[in-house]
Amino acid sequence: MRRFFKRFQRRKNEIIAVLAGAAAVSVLALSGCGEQERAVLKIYVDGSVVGDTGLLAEQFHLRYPEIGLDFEVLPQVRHDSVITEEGISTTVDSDSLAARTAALQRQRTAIMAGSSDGDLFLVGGGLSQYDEYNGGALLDDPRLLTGNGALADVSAIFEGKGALDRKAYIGPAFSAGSGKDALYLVPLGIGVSCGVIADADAPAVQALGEAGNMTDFFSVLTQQYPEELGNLSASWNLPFLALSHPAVDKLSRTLYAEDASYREAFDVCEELLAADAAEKEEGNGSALLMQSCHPYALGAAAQEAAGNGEKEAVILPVPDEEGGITAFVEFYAFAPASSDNVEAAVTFLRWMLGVEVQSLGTGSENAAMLNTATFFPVRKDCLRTALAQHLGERAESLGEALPESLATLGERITAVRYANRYDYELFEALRQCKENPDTTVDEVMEPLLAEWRLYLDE
Amino acid sequence: MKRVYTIFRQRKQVPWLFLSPLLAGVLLFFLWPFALTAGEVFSSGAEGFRDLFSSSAFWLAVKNTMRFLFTAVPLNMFLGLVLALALQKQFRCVFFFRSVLLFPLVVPAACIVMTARVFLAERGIVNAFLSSMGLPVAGWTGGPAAFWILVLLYLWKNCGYNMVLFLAGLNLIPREQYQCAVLDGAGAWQRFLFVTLPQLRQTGFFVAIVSVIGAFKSFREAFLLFGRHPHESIYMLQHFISNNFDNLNYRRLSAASLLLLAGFLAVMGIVFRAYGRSGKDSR
Repeated sequence: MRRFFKRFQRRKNEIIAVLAGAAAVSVLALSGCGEQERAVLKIYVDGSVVGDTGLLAEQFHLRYPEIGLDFEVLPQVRHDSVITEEGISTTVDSDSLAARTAALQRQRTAIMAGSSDGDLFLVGGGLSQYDEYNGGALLDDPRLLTGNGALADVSAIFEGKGALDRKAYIGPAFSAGSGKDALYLVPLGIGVSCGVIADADAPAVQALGEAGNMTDFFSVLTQQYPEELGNLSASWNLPFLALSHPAVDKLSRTLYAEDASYREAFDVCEELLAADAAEKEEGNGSALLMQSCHPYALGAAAQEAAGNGEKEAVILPVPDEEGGITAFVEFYAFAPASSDNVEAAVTFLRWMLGVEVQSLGTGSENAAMLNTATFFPVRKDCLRTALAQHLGERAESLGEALPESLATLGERITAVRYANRYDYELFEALRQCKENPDTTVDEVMEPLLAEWRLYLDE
Repeated sequence: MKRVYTIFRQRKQVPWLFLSPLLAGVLLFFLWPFALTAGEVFSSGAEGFRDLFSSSAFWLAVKNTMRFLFTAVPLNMFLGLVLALALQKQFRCVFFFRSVLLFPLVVPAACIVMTARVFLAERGIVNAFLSSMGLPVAGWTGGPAAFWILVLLYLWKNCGYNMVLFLAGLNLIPREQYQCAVLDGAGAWQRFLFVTLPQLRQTGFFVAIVSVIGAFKSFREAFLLFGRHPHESIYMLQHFISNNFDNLNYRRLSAASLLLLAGFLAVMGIVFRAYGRSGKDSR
């Protein structure tokens, strides 16, 4: 013992120095001065909504260097177009179609089974995603996932440190993706059904602007001013895009397609189809009314409708059955329940919903990050800016840069829908009526309604 | 080592050793999931069954499953027997016919469905033929005809196998019994009723079981040809269970699965009972 004490005395300074060094290293490591563990978000994205993922990751990294982004783009279907004497012939590349179908099936199963390796999914909404030529959609009915525990709650976006101000956003868009006080589906972009009328001085325009609800809007067109209907080839489905409820709502077990509002929409649809057929027979090609949900398409439609520029076009959002405006979610995100990085996912979603990303327009420096031309932002101030930019730049024929009806659009949206497979089935059924004028709406709807009743009862 | 082998032989455990891979699979992939399902049902108590019984889709599925079983299975057995009797006699090309009738059994379900679609689609061969004859066309897969299409597909696929089984049974009947019956003055019909049918009792029992299993497996064709929500005449219990799996409604799914198993066992029980009774009668 004594010997040991002597040795200690001799090497005391040496030992103290070693211990002090070890303590300093430990303190540095614990205080974060060493290399911090970096969260890496695995994000699956749909190429239809997200453009340059590298640029997206770069821009996010500038703000949040502690979170890494690992993007994986879901396979896209390739379409080959060949110009022939008869017109453009488009074929679907079967390999890419099979790859997308398989990838979607794999991801869908993993999300449902709670075994997904993704922390976040950024996917496109809208009806066209259900087109089988596009490989189908990731989710048959996104809203179903708000009630079955497959997704993580990301309501922290609006809570705690760094929370976003909920009032700055279109409220119904977030309500549509919520369930039991939790937020599961995060809308990042929306679309609104609008009518584009070529002649702002047409007598029907004022009446349409004053229409209190969908019934009034379409009665102006079909009863008061039927002569102004023009060529309606693109607008036969407008009533269904304006309705505030989906045809089938599994969550509330309601078949809205049997409700009075849908019945009315079917009647209007038949009238629009009949007018379309009559116009075709007469060879009239003037586009007085068109439907559109996207900023880019709205501007283009206004330009097309105004024709040679002698007239001014007007854009009117179509009111729903209760007088509000219904929008469709065109771009949304969700985190699977299996994700271990929900906190980092919330940070990323806050950034996506922030002014920086929501105000990305076609002319902006980082526009390539997202395919912004296909949706409106969900942030109200950014929506107004986006409308002004798109309509101002692309539709010079519009009388005002941003008419009042559109300037207050963010405030007027009262319902937001996530398109589902059943909405698409309804559209496909009605398309049969358009292609075969002898077929009635009731004929095509009867088997669909029987199928949906069964589905709701399961 | 020798001692271990001796113990194995004495205790008759060798068969179990060979059976163990299969038993492990059954345990892991069938019995364990079934135990989980049963656990789900019993944890939710009567509520699970109450919820299930309140669904009219479930009752529709039960009705259709029963209707299919009691239509397709007897038809399949009858057709198999008729074909076996017809092809029992040796004539030219008999092997060709036997092979052709067995062929559908090895055709994958996807091919059958593709072929059926070519024929039965709205613009398919059947409708093209009907319209060329000036007859009205029909939506075959979307109407009540769907039930009979499914029955036909089931018969086409399965009756060849039944024919082979019945042929084997017929060939096992001793010729002497027929000769005695002829000497006793029995006609062809009496020979069939009192010699052939009783002797086919064991084969018939096996064919019935195979046919019932085959009927339950017809869901593959029904699902591929008519989709998740087919015409209400062919909405089976398997549709109900599969769709509830998609909807993640495990409570209903588990309760329905348990009842399906109970129903299957009940049908098997009826077959076994009928077999036992016919055995007593024949004695």
